[in-house]
Amino acid sequence: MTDRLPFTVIGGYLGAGKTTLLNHLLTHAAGLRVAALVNDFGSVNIDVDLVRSHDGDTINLTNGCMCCSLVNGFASAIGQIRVRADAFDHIVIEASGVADPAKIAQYGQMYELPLDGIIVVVDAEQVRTQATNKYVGDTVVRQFAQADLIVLNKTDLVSAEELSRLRAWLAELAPGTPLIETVGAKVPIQVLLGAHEGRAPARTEADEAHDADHGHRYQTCTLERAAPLSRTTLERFAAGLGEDIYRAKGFVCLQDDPDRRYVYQQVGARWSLEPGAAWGSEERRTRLVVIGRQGATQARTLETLLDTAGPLVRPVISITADKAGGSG
Amino acid sequence: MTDKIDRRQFIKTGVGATLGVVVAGSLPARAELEIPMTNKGAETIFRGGTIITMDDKRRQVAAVAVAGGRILAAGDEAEVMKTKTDATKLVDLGGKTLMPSFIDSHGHFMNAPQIVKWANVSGPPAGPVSSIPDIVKGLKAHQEKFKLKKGEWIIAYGYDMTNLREGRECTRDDLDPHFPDNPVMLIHSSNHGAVLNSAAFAAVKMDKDTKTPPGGLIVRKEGSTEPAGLIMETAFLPIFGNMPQPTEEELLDTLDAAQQIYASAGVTTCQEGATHAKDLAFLRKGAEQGRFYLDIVSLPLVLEIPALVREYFPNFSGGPMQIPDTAKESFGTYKNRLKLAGVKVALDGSPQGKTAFWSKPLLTPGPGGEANWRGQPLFPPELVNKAVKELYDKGIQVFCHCNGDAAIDMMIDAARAAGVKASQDRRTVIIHSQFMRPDHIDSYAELGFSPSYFTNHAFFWGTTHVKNLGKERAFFLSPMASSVNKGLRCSNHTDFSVTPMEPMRVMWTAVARKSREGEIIGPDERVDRWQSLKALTTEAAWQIREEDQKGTIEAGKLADLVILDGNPLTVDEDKIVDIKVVETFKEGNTVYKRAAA
Repeated sequence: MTDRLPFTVIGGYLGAGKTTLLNHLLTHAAGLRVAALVNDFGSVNIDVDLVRSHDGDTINLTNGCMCCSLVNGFASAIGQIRVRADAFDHIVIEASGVADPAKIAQYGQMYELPLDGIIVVVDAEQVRTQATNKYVGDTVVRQFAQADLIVLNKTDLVSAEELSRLRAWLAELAPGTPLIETVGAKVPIQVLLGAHEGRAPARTEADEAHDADHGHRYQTCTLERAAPLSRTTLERFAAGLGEDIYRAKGFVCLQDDPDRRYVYQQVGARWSLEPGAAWGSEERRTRLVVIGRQGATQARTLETLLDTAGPLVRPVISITADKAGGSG
Repeated sequence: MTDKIDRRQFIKTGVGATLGVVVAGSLPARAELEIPMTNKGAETIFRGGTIITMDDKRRQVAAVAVAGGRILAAGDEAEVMKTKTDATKLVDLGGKTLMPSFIDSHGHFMNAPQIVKWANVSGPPAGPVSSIPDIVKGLKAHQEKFKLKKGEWIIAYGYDMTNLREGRECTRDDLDPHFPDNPVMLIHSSNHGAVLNSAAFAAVKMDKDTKTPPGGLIVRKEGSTEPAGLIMETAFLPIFGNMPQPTEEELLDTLDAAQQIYASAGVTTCQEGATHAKDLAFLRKGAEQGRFYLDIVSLPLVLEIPALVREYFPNFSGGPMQIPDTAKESFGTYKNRLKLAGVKVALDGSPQGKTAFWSKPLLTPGPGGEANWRGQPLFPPELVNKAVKELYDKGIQVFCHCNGDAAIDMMIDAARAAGVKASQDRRTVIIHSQFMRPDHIDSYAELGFSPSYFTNHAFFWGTTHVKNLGKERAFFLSPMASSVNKGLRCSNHTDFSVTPMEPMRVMWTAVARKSREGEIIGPDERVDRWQSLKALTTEAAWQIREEDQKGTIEAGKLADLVILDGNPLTVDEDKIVDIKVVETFKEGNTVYKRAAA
């Protein structure tokens, strides 16, 4: 099982900020050991203090993360990581600017890796031009539709009017897909990546400190319940979250298999429930963290999605402060 | 191990740690080395048959004299016989045809060392298989030939159900009784799948519990989840990627057999047209060990430039896609029969796989069932423009793979942006140049682009292209006649091993453009036989800047020659493909001779 590392695909056209997002992710991995596969090795620009070693086609970081070039092909890079699967928690693949991220996701799945999600980064300033380019316009637009989560980056380079036009335009091209607005592609890792078996899924207030200037307001709600949930309840919960929720993740105690801890993952509309280890001595309790746009994670609303098997024990709301304004 | 050390030292202490060391070397230029000793006279004189010179000024001659690896004289018998001495060997062609040997203007030499270790289970004309018993027979012969022991893989290529008389897929049950102890893999002609037997399923750990991955196919036995034999796409690719690889030594030992694929087809200049850094290291080793008797033209892939620069220019401090000024010295000269001609750029995929990049959608859905599919480029235009400009600026010849018209547009844009003009004589080769639009021909003339066409598509995939693209676009595939009319120089290739190494088939498809089903794919684009032979000789030589050495039978050029058992200029059109090679010469030496009947 250890070689079944969850993976995330980062797509988006040239210059959108994919590598910036990746650098951000690698340097703020918050204890997660991320193996990143990149196309353009030369542009990965990691804080030198974090670089432990740099040999040939890999960069090893002091925080346990690694960056690996895709120059010898996908199979070779994945193979390299799989032999060291115990050393990592998550794989992030940076798709090339003209790749269909959904196809990259399919490659990963053929190695039986579980797909955590597809994140597409969009250059707020250039995307209109890119979308009408005679060579790549259709590719750029197709990328939006494949996203589980869209990161609209460089919002500081466009006017408020243009930003609202962009939102409407993207909503039309990728209906129902959550959109996060950023400057410098600073998206909290808790939003970017899902939960990990054997690791606490909940984020702490301390983890959020570095999210302070990402130009977007986030709100987190933690749902807990002691009584086991049915699969139908979870299906309804997943379908009901809507586009203002970016991410939901956590452990589930399931009615039809209560001895095992299940891992719940959701990004945008994509969600999964995978059997994990036995609960053992741990308390059997469903605990889900929901992260969304500020104001969207109303405990009462979320509560109704879980209303079939007993009352919620403790909804917890936390709000992340936001210097840069953003959409809230 | 010692080889490795030697190579390192060689690089470090060489004539500067430059790519120049890769192939350019201390050997004097060939002209200096091998000027024929005219006063010594001919070593060999050929006469008594048809001698096609491929020289526009004098298409046929009666006799040819060879000395010192070069053509000493070509002309009337009396004239040529003046070079005869007591030591001269007289060869009577016995009515057969002598002409310049062929130049592979685009193919993948590195596929040859692998293929010679595999059985060919293709259907006619590429192989011998029309039924499942034919497959078993071919595999048995292969097992015998390579003395494969229990447990060793039997790998075959070219499998395609549509060639089978049985009208169904071959299964593990067909193979198991004959091959109980050896894993068998019949690789599908698309290279996207394979049929496995039970030993192979066991070896790759695929069984009734294996889930089918998204985008994959595992055909199951009826009424069970047990795999039946055929696996495709995402179910196959990881398995193929993990197959045991031959060692370098094993591959080096196949280089003779690999070259025989070419020599037996009358080809004496082979192209490795998409060279990875590790392939280049392998080819260099083959060259250093003196294993090549044919010329090998290598085109390193543009994506490998950072790795090559790191390896051969360790002190270069430019950016990731920058090339040192001295890199061009590494190109254009043979060393131990290996030459770098230029850099290969690829802008799209293949038209039959629907991964080429067109400006207008196909009439059929995309490879994943997409509507309005027109394919997509492999790289963003911004990156292409930058990389292409860097190559042009550094004086390196560009060989660019473009199949769809939008990919061609991208390359035209990139060359214009780099300030390229025909008068600069850069000889940018557009590999395949398959689905051009008529307006592209003028752009090619303006920019000095030279297409390396692939008219075999008319035969192998003509019907498919008509279905996917409609007649207008399909009929203009590899438009050699329109191009020649506008003064473009065009070669023609097999893209080996995509289609078989058969120059006579390439010649025929340029002349006839007939599909397997007998439809003429673009009657207006058929060329005459002379032109179609030039594409395999003079034009191919010109594209790799060897027109002063190769391509025609003229005094002073290399004696790279082939004897054919029929005259391609005069046999019935449908018999062109049946012409067989009798003997092939590289610089006067026999490199292939057909076994006596």
